[in-house]
Amino acid sequence: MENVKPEIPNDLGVIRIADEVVSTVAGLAASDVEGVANMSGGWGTDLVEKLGRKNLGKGIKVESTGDQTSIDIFIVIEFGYAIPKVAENVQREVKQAVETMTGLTVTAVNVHVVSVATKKTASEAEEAATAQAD
Amino acid sequence: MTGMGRLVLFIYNLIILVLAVIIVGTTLGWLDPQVYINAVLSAPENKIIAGLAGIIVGFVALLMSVWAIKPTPRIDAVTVSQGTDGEISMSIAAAKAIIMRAIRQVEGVKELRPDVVPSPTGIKVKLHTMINPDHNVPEISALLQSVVRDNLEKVGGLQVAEIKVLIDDFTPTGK
Repeated sequence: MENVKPEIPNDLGVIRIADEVVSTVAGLAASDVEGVANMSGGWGTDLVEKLGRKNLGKGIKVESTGDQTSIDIFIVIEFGYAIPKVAENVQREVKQAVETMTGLTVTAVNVHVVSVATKKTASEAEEAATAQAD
Repeated sequence: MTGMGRLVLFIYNLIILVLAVIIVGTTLGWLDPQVYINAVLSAPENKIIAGLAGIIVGFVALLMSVWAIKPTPRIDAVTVSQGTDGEISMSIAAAKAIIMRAIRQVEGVKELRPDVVPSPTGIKVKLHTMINPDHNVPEISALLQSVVRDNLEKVGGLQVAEIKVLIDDFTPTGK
């Protein structure tokens, strides 16, 4: 089935928002949530990112049909945080950000936790460096 | 593999075995299959039966080949919750990562390899471990089960149906 891109009509014409814009907004909103280590975009995206091209919509899949938009988010969560809580926060923040910035109606934000990672804080890194020096 | 699949595979192996015996027997001069083949194909009704048998065996062989190369659907994620805002799911790899980090709290575990299988009642976990022989096996197993269950439920928000511990080996160099 062909996806019909959402349109926002006004007196001057029609505003169409590309899926890439929605995924960038969703990606930025999700990355800001506490407990999210990073977004998971697969090896291809990671390789491109390593080559220097930053992809803000990494790990986001947007499906728009008419005025309905559903978003799938693939994230890596920091170990120690309650995953359901972090995922719920991601759902709420992403829905709010996309609806506020684009005016689209988000019907579902599906969060897929791909992995769990440990984020080495600056203090831990310092401690490790000190221990090595000793 | 289902019971029917096993039966079909057994029959096919039997056919291959008979063919192998015929080939070896012919090579050594014990058998003369040409005589039997000519005898079978001499009557028209026997030709029809042999032809039909060939078609059936060939068709089943084709089905088995397709069945063998067809990839089995892999479930690589478990649903954490499903609400009005959407679904939250977690990959099996993430669940394993939680388990691996959880067992760091348990002293005496040298190695651990978790298997995680989703089921309707929750995830089923099997822990293959190597432990230090200085530790008591029932105690360390119970502690492993408790720590893993706690972490999966509290950190992952996952429903745990069962946790099985299998001590694969003992190693004196545990942490």
